Amino acid sequence: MIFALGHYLNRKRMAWAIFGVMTAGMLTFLIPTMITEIHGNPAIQHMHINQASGSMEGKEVRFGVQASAYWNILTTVISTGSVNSMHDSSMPVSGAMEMLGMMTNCFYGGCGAGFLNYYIFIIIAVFISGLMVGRTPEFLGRKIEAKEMKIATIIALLHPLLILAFTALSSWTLVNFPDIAWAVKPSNWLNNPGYHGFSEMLYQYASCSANNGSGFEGLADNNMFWNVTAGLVMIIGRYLPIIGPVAIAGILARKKYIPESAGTLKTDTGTFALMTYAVIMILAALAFFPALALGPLAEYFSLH
Amino acid sequence: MNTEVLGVIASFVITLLLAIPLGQYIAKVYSGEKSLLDFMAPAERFIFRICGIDPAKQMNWKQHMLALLSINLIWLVYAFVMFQIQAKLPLNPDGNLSMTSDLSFNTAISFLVNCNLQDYSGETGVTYLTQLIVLTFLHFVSAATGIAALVVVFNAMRDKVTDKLGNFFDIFCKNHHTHFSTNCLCHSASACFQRNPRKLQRKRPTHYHAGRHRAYFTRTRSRHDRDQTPWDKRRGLVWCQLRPPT
Repeated sequence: MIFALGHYLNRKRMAWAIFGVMTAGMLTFLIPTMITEIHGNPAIQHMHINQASGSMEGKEVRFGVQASAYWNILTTVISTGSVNSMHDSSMPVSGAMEMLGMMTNCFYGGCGAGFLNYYIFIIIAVFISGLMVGRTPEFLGRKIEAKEMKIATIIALLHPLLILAFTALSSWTLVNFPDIAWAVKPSNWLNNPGYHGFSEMLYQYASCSANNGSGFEGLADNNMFWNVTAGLVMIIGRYLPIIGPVAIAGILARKKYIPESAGTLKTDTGTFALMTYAVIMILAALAFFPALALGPLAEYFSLH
Repeated sequence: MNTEVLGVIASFVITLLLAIPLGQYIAKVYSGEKSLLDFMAPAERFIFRICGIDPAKQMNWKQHMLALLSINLIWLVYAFVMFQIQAKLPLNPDGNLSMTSDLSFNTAISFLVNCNLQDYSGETGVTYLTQLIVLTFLHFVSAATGIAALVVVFNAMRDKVTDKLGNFFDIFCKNHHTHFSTNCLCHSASACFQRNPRKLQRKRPTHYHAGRHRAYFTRTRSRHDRDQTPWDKRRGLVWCQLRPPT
């Protein structure tokens, strides 16, 4: 669809800039995943079991470590949700990268929805870089004003809010009411204790909110609590991020078109691409670092 | 640099090379130019005529969102009801049960929003009928919904000052006849040639290795199956979807 955008609007440079940012984002997640997976699991190494072929736990021999790592990351940055290896068995760093793929949710992204999310980040990047260089923020010849920024901010914050608030809710239920008389007791939800158990819940909501659908597994999710909360997260995480960008675009389309001049901030340059990349990464890091520190990162440090 | 990494790079490059012409083609379709697959357009016009939709009528962004949300709401109710009554409907040779209300709620939303999170277990949670006319149906329409919303944004990004952002139903249907259906037909054909089984018969219980575990080979041709075709025999292949013992 990105290349379709380039041809449709006759802005091929912009399409390649967007594609470049998305690919850079994908590689940011893919490279650490590949490296950790190739090096194998130090805890298993410690038991004198050969890890020469990488961390093969939960992976298929016909795919091997690297192709599985590639698929893990692609399936989470794009919202396909299919898996060819068990994400629950990935190394902690890979688990963090998989979750980040869904938390940013716009490096390629889902069918149509990927670019809609990216569009929100473009608007924010235009606004911030406009402020930085002291020009009126404009995107494709339209002024971006308070109303559009409000929508963009709400949509950009909605995704972390859904994931974190619901993970907090499930953790709270788990800790305070482990033996409540439900069909599946909260104490039986998780397959793994501690950090990894937290990752299982965090992953589930990240996957729902990003409309990804892949599972970390190890979570007893077919019961009232998970069915209902995950359903709510999915439906909110789908429609608001569609309505938001369409609303912004619709409002902008009605505004006066200002032809490009020397004073225009160009949105198809490398600098602007870098700016968008930084905005996406900084927003994701600010929103999700604490949660990731409790889950996969804590697990990583406890491995060594 | 070993073969595995080269394989990963090759698969990325091939995807990229395929994406460029496909992107050009999709752009052409939405600009209203003629495409190779326009012979399917009459079917689309027929549907529009029955539903009383004028595909040339332009909508603004609010009308687009209204159309998108209302049609999605209908699908949500449809999917929810189907999961609730699937046990009583045909094409259920195994007597799979209907879903509980919370599971129906989750599954209906999950497939409606193109999330496809599966809280049910594959072979026992849905029937062949709901697989075909609910899940597969939603796979198509949810993806087309996303793309239709995106094309509205594309339309809004053009240079003109306008409120006319195309017709939602027109964009939505174009997705199907111009690339989804073709894409899926090609892939299904390739799956057929690789002899991927798709049967509507009941599961056959079979003993799996020696021991107390009992597993089900579903829609399977096993080596000793009397359904085995001569072609299978030559290849000596066994297709199975293995479900862990319950």
